[in-house]
Amino acid sequence: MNRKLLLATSLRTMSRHKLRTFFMGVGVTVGVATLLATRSLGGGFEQALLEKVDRMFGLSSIMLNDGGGGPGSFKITDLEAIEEQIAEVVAWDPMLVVGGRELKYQDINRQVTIYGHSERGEEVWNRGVVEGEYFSVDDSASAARVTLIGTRMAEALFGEESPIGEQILLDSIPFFVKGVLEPLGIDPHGEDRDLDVHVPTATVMRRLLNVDYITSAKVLVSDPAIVEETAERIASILRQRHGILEGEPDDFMMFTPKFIRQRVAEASRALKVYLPAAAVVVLLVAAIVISSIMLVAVRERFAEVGLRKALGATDGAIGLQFLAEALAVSLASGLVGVLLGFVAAKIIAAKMGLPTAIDMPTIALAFAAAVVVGLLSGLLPARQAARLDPVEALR
Amino acid sequence: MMHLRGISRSFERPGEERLDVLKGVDFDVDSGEFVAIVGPSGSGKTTLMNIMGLLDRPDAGEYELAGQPVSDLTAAEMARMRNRTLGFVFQQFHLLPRTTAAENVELPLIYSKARETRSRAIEALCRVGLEDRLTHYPSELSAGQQQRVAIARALVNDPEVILADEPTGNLDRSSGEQVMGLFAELNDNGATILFITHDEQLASKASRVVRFEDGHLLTQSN
Ligand SMILES: Nc1ncnc2c1ncn2[C@@H]1O[C@H](COP(=O)(O)OP(=O)(O)OP(=O)(O)O)[C@@H](O)[C@H]1O
Ligand SMILES: [Mg+2]
Repeated sequence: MNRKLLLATSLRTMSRHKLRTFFMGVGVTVGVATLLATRSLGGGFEQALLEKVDRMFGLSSIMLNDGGGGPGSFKITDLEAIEEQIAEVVAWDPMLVVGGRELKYQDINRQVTIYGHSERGEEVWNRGVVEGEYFSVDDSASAARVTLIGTRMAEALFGEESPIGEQILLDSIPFFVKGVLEPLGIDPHGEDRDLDVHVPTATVMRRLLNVDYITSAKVLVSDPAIVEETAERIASILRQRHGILEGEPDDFMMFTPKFIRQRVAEASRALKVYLPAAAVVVLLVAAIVISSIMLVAVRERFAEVGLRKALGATDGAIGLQFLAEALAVSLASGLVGVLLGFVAAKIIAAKMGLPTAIDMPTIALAFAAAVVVGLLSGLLPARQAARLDPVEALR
Repeated sequence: MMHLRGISRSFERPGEERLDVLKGVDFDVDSGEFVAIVGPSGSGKTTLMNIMGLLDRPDAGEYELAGQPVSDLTAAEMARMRNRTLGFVFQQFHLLPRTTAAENVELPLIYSKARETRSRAIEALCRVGLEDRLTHYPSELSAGQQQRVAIARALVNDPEVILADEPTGNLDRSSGEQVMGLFAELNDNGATILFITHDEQLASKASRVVRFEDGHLLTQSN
């Protein structure tokens, strides 16, 4: 039997057994669609996350957090020393982040996290204001009771009105709204950064907490290429200043762009690897379903197989026919799966504001998966059919 | 055309005694003969015809078909002979369901990789008088018409031998006579015809009747 006829015969069998074909194909369709959608979304998700991280964090930044030694070990003087000793450190922003604070405005009460930033936060974090003014050197020096709020927070508190110059209470202390922060959206931790409340670090230290330490700092270096080595030099300065002996662990944590990118890649691995792996499991199940349905079909088609043999079909031709049928079913449902997966990826991406990365290799992978399922599932029924004894089959 | 020597075939089922169905059958059929095989039920007529039709292999004995010793043939060569040299007609017609008459007749041509399969199938259906039933499904045809489709399928590849196992067994008398008429016509055109029947009257239309009894062939001519 030639290829065209084989295809025609397979398509005819499919159209004559629509329900059976549907049940055989639905698993492949779901598997292929999941495979395609998750791989495309995973790629887009990672891309979007990296862009956001790069914008928020920058490529020549080092993040320092207290840690290990508990709060209190990390001081502004540490950073002054770092700036003095390392010429490549061009700017730094000391931060004190405190959660669970009470924000009050008229009859609105909210629990907020207060971010302490210096006047250099604008440059170091690449996030200024869309309205009003950023913190000044004076604000830091005098521990001024001023605050910057995110766009959504401004909307929540003041609606359409301009918040500039308005007074809000933070832990019952009055603060004047000095500016509205540039919108940033959801950060990689899932935090809506447009609900931020920022206060000068010095103000948090002296007026809100009355402490002499900070919780974290972001340091900018002059060139992305030297970030990692500068981070090492900073670490050794901090260890020396904190009196940490050789072999003892750090009492601080340090994050570099390389580290953060690795974490992002790990996060998106769920989408890029584990979900497609689940799709592969679905496809394997689909192969088993097709195989068992076809095995039943072979039994139902005993007489057909016997007759075809009597009419001159070789064992090979019979086997090929069943293999072609399995392949045709899985290819057709694979095609539907590719279309469904494509549409699903586009819709989900649009809803989540993500780019989709549907590329040819991904589509090729999805199709290859369908072919493999077809061949795998057709093998056993094909062998069964080919070995049928025509006398028995025709009785 | 067909020469059988000492053909035996027995069946063994677990827990039962071995059943010797063919006990050394010698049988010769010349080219162009029209042979009827008769005999009591269970005497081994179908078993013999399956062996002659290369659907089954004997346990012992020699069989030569169209000059070819069958024991030397590979499975693929046997398939090829079933396709080119032989044509089958069965009591239950064995047409593919949900497949038109023309497509059913086309099947042997597909396995011989022939060209113009559709027009040859239509030609064969014309020969059995079904030119106006080409796109009918088996379920839309009478029993007699279905058996004529099966005969068209048997003759479409111009085989030298047609083997028919009780071809009229499921037909009424007039349809049966129609089928026998077609066989006679094919035989006139040179085909060798072997058919099994329980109907002595139909058997008498053959040029030779062989009687089967207890695994042996009792030849008788008429
Ligand atoms: N595969 C098999 N296994 C076991 N016994 C079998 C098998 N095939 C045939 N037989 C037995 O062999 C004997 C002959 O069977 P066969 O079908 O050849 O008879 P027959 O002459 O064609 O009978 P009928 O006229 O009823 O069609 C029967 O007793 C049957 O039960
Ligand atoms: Mg019989």
